[in-house]
Amino acid sequence: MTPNETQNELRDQLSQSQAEADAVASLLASHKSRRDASIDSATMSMSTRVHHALTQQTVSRPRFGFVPVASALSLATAAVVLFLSFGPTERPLTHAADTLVDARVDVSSAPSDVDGLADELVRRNSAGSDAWTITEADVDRLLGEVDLEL
Amino acid sequence: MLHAVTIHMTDSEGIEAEILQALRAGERDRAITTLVRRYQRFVYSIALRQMNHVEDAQDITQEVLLRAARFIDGFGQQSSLQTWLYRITINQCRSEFRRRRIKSFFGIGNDEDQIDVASSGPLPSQHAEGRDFDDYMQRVLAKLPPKQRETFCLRFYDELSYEQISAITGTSQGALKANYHWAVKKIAEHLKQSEFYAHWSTSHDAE
Repeated sequence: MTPNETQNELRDQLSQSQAEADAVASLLASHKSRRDASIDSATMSMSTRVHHALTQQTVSRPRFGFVPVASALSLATAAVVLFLSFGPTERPLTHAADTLVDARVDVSSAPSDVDGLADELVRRNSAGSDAWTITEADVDRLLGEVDLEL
Repeated sequence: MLHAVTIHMTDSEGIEAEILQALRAGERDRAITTLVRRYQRFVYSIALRQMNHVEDAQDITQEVLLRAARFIDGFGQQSSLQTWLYRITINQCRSEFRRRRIKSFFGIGNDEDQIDVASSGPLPSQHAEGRDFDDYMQRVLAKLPPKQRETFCLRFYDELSYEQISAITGTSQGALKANYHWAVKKIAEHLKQSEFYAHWSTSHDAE
């Protein structure tokens, strides 16, 4: 498809009078032209960004940061720790200490879990699997350890 | 007698063949460079439609192309490269919306995460009138049924053939043509009621 073919087809679809078709086609053509220029500008440095990211992991702005979520998980961990330490059930001190270690949530793994899930999704698709989209189970995989409901 | 055999190959198929050939020849960098250059506009255009935000769309585009570059060795060719990228982009956008849901659950969303339709428009140097019209078109497109909107966008903005759109969306070409026809009709009806149409008519009548 060329831009001219697209414009010609658009005109064919416009069965109004010639003047009306001219007006609509002209407005849409200008709009598309501005949009194309905007896309050209936005993607101008994309090759550099991708190659840079491939060699240096990432150059995108830190928008997907999971630090706040990790903080929330830390709070949940602290609550579990406090409950296990000072809860109503009496346990030997050694048992309590072991439980603390077992109960701790590794919050530092949260970002890699997200990336791991995303990578898995791409693998699923490249393998031709139908189960492509992110499921609630996938989200549960991220949040399930602390039993959070969205 | 030898007969000349002509292989009809679209531009997209030719590029895809070039990328896969480069991969088979062990020229991974060349394959990735070709992939990025050929499909960056396509991926960005879809991401922009989904996210309605320039910087978000740029980040999604980078992420999609990065993932495609990482996993292209395992690309199974059950679909075209373009279809594969389309699905990765849509899923990357959905994934981002889900991340926002999670962040929103924790009450840690910020203004930056809000949809910013205005900033998805044209460059600052462009005329205010053009910017207004582009914003207006966003609102008109939002009123279309999803299938008509996506068909119109893939056909008019991304300039894909019906065959390509059919491969991407899994909709028959006949249905796509009908969707496109109704989308154009509805857009034209909206436009005819708008100030932009009146302004265009007035200025051209004066000429």
